[in-house]
Amino acid sequence: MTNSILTSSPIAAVTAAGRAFGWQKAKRLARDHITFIVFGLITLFFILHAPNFASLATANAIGRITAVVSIMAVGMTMVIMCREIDLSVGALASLSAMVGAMLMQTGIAPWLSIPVMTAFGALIGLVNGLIVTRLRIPSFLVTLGMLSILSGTALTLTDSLPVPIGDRTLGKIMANGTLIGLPAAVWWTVAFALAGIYVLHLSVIGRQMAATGGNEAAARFSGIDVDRAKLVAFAVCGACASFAGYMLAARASAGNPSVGVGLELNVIAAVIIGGTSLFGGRGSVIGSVIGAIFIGILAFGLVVIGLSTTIQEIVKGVIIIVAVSLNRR
Amino acid sequence: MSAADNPLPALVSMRGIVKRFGANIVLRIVDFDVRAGEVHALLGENGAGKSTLMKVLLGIHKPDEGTILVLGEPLTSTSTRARLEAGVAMIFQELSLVPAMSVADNLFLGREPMLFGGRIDRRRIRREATDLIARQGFALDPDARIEDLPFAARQQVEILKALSRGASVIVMDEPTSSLTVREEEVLHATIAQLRAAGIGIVYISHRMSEIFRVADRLSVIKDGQIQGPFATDQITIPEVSRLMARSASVVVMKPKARREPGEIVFEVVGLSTARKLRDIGLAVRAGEIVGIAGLVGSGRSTLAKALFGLIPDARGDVRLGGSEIGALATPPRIRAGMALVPEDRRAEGAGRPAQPGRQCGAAQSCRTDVALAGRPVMATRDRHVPRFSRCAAHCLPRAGPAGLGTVRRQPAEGGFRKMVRQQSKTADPRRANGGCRRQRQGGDAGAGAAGRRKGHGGAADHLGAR
Repeated sequence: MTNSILTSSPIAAVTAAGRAFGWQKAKRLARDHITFIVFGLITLFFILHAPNFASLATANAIGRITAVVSIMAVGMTMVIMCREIDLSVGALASLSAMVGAMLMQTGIAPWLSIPVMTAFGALIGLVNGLIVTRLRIPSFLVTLGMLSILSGTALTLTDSLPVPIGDRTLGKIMANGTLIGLPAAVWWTVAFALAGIYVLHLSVIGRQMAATGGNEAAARFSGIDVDRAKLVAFAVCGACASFAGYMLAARASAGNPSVGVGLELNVIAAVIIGGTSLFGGRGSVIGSVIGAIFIGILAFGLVVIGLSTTIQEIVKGVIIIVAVSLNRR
Repeated sequence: MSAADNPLPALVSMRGIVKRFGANIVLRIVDFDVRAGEVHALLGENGAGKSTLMKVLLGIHKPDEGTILVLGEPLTSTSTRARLEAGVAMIFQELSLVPAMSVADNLFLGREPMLFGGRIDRRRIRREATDLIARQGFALDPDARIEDLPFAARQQVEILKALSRGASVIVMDEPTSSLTVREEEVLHATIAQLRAAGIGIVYISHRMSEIFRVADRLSVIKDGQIQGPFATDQITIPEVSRLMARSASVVVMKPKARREPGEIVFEVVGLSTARKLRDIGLAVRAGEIVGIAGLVGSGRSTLAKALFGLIPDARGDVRLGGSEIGALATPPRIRAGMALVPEDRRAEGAGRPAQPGRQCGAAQSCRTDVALAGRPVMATRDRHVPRFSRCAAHCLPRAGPAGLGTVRRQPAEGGFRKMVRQQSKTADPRRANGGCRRQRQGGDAGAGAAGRRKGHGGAADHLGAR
């Protein structure tokens, strides 16, 4: 008797109500990717109207320019997935540029200095995460404070003076060297993006971050260590920021204490226009990297068609707002 | 055939539970048990101790006295996790699912099968989720995202999640409060199936007819004491209602002597919205309290918001303090001296969760002629009720003489109901004519307070609205 109840009308009706999901799915797909469609159109505009835009040289240049923001965006995606934010990444990049340059002065092997600096960033990120999770202070405030502390430290270390990096190999490994026609910076971007995709979309910890940001109560109730997921996200974000800052120093052959100023805004913009929700729970690493590259294309394209850098900033801001409004959730 | 005839061993049994919050004794020596394959309904007015008892069962509260036996073994650990391991799970009113994730991902959240290198075994999750759904015979797509699913389907996912974690006792707290009539049928079919599988279910609801349809046994909690269990085929609705009714002494409100209400300060004619409300007329006189009753989802909240001009598609004529105001726009209402104390103060009210005592003050702080109070008791944490009552007892009678018309919206339950009734006795009996006309919607809508007086009896299956 119970079986006949189950197969009769009510369930069928509810499923019928759910039949529209195929259409909903298609609609969501279009909605999720509408920003990318807009990116494509704008890029097409530059290709048609900017001289020599569609060339490997341009692509390489944009790849080199955007590598720093792309790499930082990978880490930021994880923090934002957890419904947190990290405003200190720009300042951390500055500090890492300084600390890295000073580290190089000790005569350390260049290849060894890279993991050391990455670990240094992870440590700072861990401190952010510990303050957020243990003291229950909103990450906006914690990392805003950390922004000030880190940039102040970067300036204090050498009394605001840049630190030169004599070694040429570091610059080659980190940014300027080429492999199979692509600059090292692009290779690093690909490496970080792949690692980020693995952690966020394939591994259990990434799933836990998404659940934490999606519904923290549900995540806790399902036995997920929400605090641990956040700690890992902050640590990864710090590691990415530190690596990117060190890359900036290697590229310029000098640690400059204000090299990362304002970078956090570009990074957060890249993540958000890449489709990651500022309210946590949904997003993708690849979207963030596309967002970063788009910001690069926009900046480069506007220069090529001859707009002054001041107007560029305005156009960039408008496009970011439009992109986010299209992508709103 | 029924579980009452053939007593099965108790899956969970609570013995002599006592719970105090400070000097306030919420549960006094309560016994409660759930057998395999039965639905045990738990009834009681708000604040009677239902949710406290369930929180004790789930390990959220630690009992001051008493023991909990699982399959005859006393449970020593108090943690929620230990309860989950012992097989006690709760389906929450606010569901504990991640909306952006798929059904399968939610079912295995927090215990994902892993491949080499910490990778999630997606294929296995999908396969096992499909099996799980098939075994229960639910019509769920494992790949559908939770946010796309109707509420009843989300509930099924919750139930599956509990079952897949080895739950043998499932507590359902007001499971039908957000369901349509048709979805309710699905839930009841699901419950029948769980019973057949030997799962014990605690069913908390206010709807009498539903309980008599679903439950095998029922227990009634009143003022922290439990009565029952009774087999549902050996007790009638009026008897249960009598068991639930509180003695009049509980209500502290003593309205002042009969008072003549003054002029009509607020009048609504033909208020309609696209979906919920149809042709509602309402008049409030100075110094009068008008109660509006109805079930969850019947449109009470919408009405309160529409009266305050918060519903964009509302139509109708609104007269406030003698001047005509459109159905829309809140600012002119505020200027004309109207205020709303919202139902969910945390979401809709000002800033921080306010002290209940301040709630009344908000409406009075500015020049107010008409105040709307949304479920003052429901929105107030149980243990704050006495305090709120005191405050209201202080505020409302004062408000009356000052010419404050109050529209109070709340389900007809809890201590305030009586107060509202008593107050409404003081109202002009003629008011019933101009009172709230509420169209019934489906089988679910409640009648307005005035409509009830006129003998509509629309909320007959609603316990409190006898």
